[in-house]
Amino acid sequence: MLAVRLRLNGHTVAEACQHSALSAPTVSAAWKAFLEGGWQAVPVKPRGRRRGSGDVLNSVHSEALCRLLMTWPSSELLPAWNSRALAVALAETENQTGMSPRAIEHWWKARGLGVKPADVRGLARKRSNAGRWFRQQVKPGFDAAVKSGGKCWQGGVRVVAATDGRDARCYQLYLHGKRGALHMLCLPTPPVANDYITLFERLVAEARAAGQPEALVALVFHGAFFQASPEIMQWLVEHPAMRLMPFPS
Amino acid sequence: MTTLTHLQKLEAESIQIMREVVAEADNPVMLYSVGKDSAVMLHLARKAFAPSPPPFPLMHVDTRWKFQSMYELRDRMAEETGMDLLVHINPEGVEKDINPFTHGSAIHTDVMKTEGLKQALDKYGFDAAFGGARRDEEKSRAKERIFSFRTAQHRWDPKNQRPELWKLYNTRKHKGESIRVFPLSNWTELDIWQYIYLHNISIVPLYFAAERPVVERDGALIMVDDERMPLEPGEVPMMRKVRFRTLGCYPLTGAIESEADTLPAIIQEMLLARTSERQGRVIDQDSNASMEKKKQEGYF
Repeated sequence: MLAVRLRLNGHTVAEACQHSALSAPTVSAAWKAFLEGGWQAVPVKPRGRRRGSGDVLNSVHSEALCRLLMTWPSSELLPAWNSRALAVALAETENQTGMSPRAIEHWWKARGLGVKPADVRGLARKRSNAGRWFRQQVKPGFDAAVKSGGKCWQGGVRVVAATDGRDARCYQLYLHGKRGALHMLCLPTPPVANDYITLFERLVAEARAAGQPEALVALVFHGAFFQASPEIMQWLVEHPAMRLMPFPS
Repeated sequence: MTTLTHLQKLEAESIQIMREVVAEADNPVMLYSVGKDSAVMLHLARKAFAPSPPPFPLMHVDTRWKFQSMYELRDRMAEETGMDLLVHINPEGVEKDINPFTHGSAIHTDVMKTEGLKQALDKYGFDAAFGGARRDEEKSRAKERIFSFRTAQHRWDPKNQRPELWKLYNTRKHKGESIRVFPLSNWTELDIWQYIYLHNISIVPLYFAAERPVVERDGALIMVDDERMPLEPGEVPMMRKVRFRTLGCYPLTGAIESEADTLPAIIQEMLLARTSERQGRVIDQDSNASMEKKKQEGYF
């Protein structure tokens, strides 16, 4: 309606687009409809979804998600839970249907689980220890992984404080894959060597599932002091396919 | 007429106490634990006797379990100040390999700190020892006088303390008695930080927040400072942004999660803090009135 009124007042299509935030074809179609059939013929559609029509996670969903996040995904080709896998698992194992991945991502965000990836590639031109670390370790690691048909990941572990009175804080293992896709696992106690090793094994399996038996996995990891764990150091020696690059402190 | 700020008043009081001790004692010593209070006390001592170095040595009662960066600062400061640094480690404790893990914090503190201190004072015949304790740290320290008298066996009797009215100190000692002197008694943790900021005093970097490897032990965050720290099977230390409000033996000192990586940020944090810095010391939670019992036995 606003676009037609603007056109009636002598504004151009471009100006009407700018003021009404509609596209040029929409403004033109509305103007044409007005000329042919008057105000009744102008199509007016409500914009966006109606308030309250989005997926809402209730306490049952929330508890089911918490339960799922504390276990490894059943598929071994999934390194940890992503929103899509959680939505499917929620429907399959918990009978909670109709929950979209986007709703789960909003739930993560509300509970402080929506961690963003660090801008590691931004260190490429930095003249600092972190910059040197990127150029000397991360860049060659990422290049080797890409060349072998493998994958590059960023991840870490952190403590997430309780967001409501009921739940204790959790230890979140998180990963960012291609285009920053978030994967995670939430543990009630600090992760131990076996948890990290399971994660690494899943990453390697996932990279090789695409049919590249020599695929490497490059993982930049933040928040764990692996040097103090003989089990992990031993595993890394035995599995050269995993290029682990701990974030410098 | 100029009015002194509260920090200048505290500084003047501490300097007066130090000069009083040097005038009255035969063989004084400054106990240097390498913490922030020791750093301020050392700065005040240098100021009190400038331009010459303070007329007493520094003494560190070492337990072998301090943070590595504390040892680095200790040696650097001794060199910078030109003061003699006496380091004493209880030889019996070394022989029996007393440590906080196998013997527990109580035995470790008793043997390596309390007994070590008594041995060192006897060995060198010191009759007055400066310490950086403050009243706001802990309740038993709150009731201790600035001049705290100890028997020949180094015991403290909290019910038999001398009055210190109008800042007049009675320094007469009975035979065999020694004095522990606390020039920073009336300072608070916030005063210490403000003074460090104002005078740009060197302190151990562990006081500033940084990512450090820590493990959780009974709700406390313990830093993995060297390979001697025993880990649980499969345990992997986490890198967390922590700092220390107090420094002691690293397996017995809890860190706090903090973002304060500069002095102004620490002061800001102090203004909001509602807990004592000693909450991070495992040795203070051994039992009720733990510190008072230890002090009666000769602990600082």
